[in-house]
Amino acid sequence: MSSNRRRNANLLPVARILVIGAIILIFGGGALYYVNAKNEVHRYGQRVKALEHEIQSALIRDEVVMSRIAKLSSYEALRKRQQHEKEAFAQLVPVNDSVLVRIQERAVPVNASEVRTVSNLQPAR
Amino acid sequence: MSVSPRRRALYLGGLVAFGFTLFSCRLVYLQVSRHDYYAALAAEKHSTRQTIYARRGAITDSAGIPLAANEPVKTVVVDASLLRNPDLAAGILARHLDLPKAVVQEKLARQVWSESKQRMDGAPYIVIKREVPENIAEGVLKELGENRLRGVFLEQDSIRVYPNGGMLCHVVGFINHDGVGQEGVERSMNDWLKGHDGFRYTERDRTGKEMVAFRKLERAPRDGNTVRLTVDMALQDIVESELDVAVKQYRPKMATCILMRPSTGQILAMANRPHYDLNQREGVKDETRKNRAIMDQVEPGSTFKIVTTAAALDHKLVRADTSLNCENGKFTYGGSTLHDHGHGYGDLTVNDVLVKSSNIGVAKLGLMLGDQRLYEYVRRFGFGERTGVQLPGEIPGIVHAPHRWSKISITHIPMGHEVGATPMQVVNAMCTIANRGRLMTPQIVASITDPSGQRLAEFAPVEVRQVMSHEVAEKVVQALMEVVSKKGTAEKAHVPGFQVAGKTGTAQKISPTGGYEHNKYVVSFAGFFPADKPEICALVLLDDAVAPSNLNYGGQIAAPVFSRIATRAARHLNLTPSPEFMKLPGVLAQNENGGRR
Repeated sequence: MSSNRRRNANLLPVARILVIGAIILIFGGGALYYVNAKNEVHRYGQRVKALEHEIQSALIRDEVVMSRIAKLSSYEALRKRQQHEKEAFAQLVPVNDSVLVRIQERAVPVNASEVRTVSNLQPAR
Repeated sequence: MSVSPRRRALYLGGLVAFGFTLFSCRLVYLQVSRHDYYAALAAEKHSTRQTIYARRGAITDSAGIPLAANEPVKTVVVDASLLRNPDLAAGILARHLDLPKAVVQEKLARQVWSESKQRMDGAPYIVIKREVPENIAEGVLKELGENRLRGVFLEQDSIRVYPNGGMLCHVVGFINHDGVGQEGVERSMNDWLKGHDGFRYTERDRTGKEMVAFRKLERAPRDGNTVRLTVDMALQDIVESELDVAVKQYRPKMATCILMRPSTGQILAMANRPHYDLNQREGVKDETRKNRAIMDQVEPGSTFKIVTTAAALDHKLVRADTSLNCENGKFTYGGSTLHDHGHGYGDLTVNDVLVKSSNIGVAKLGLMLGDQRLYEYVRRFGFGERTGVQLPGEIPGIVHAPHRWSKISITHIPMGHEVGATPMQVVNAMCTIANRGRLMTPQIVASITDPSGQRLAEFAPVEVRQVMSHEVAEKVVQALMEVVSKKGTAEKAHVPGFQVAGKTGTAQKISPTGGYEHNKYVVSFAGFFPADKPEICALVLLDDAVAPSNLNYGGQIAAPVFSRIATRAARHLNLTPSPEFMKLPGVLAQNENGGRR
């Protein structure tokens, strides 16, 4: 084959194409990875926000319940209930002194199985 | 003329290079020279500063029962420019928020000039209702979602709730719309309660959505601290219910009761009448909001006699058994005649001057002391200056210096006239006697804890001074114990099972036009028990009680209230009653005559 003929032949510069391809692949791949990572960051951001919202909602629910408990267990509520149940069959009755027995001395049992007696020297009547 | 291809390529290249140079110059101009301007513009458009609100701290009683707490609520806001079906939205909002539909429709019809659209458009921020409970707000959102209605937003908000309504209202106080304490502990402890808002700098995309990845500087909010009071709500309940009974019975213009622990100065209960519901403050008069225990002054009357007696004993001018001539009930000094209540007395010991509450006897003690020494003791007991309780608006009362006294002041001040004292000062003076001469600073705040429960501050008892010697105080206590007996003026203050010491007070009311008003009295009883080791010291004071003139005395009106409160308080505090004081004479009489039971 003459030298002229060889010059006109379209030989593929495989090595160069491979190098360029590799460079493009590295840069392109890197860029795609970067974009993907960035998207991932945004996705995680949204998740963070959703979790924050959930925590906030839970805190609010907790606070609402606490406030409700405070209201329902307040002395004011107890008074209202007493007032409301004044005429009811099962009502809250204040413990008066007349139904209190004050034990002045503690009786010491001889042994554990013994039935203990209590003394009421001066009942508070 | 033909141009060679090479030259043409050169021209073209030069032109392109020039173009790029121009773009580069512009780029350099924008990116370097105008960088700050455009960066600020971008930041203004996308960066925002979010405020993260701190929660206000709670107020609790000594056992941790909440007295003031926060309740999350929502503010319903509408952007009318986004609303496609205002009529349907108005119907849903009106139904859930309990508002007339016409009112909601009127609000939704509000229009403003839109710069971007260059025409009138629906207002972007219309507040439909504030302080909407969470469950109702959720219902609104759900129904709006089902009907695919856009433009209604819920903003998070918080309100202060007072679970006990009117109980302890003058002590707890309240906050204004900006969350700043206005009265009571809410005001005096505002700096501890308020907390510090946090913030966050963040960026938003063009739709307004936050880009969490671009969050910048951030500071978490610091929630307010919890303030724990010395008040015991069980005792407060006892005081309030008994005070209500007394108010119903005697219809006074005002009534006050304070319960204290003498050894520490801690206030265990404090109640005033009239009072109001902290959750419904609209239309409440200033007078009703006043904490009369520290903001009102009265002439203390006979309860003040403990000051004169203690001063005379401490100066060793007299002994407890020294006899004083009480002039058979009529004594003229400086042109003014003093009388003793009821029948007059001849000779009385100093002890009996207190027991019988003789005005003449105590006036003579005042004369023995002289201006300066009497004034000194009045001040040593804490009259004429603020007690220092951690509540706002306390007044010092009035104690004139001796150079301003009239000729008869030396006989009137010893029995509690010409002196302006707050109920707090009176009960604190009685605490000084109970505490064997030690004057303490009254305390209403016990401790402060941060939101994690760590204790930041604890308020230890503060002793102001030793007003008199221990022995003198003991002698006064002995006399005050006799006051609460058949012999004394406060038989009805007896508490079954306990030795009570105390002093009655009945002072004629000062007329605004000068002098004293007829048949108008401030009746009081200040006492403590058990007398040997006082656990509780209390003052019951009723201003202008409606009662027959022969019954309008501290011993008849205030003493029984004290007795009922003390009896219940002793049970609550699990104090052991002594059998020897169980059936003292006078108990049955109290229950039969004036007692509630």
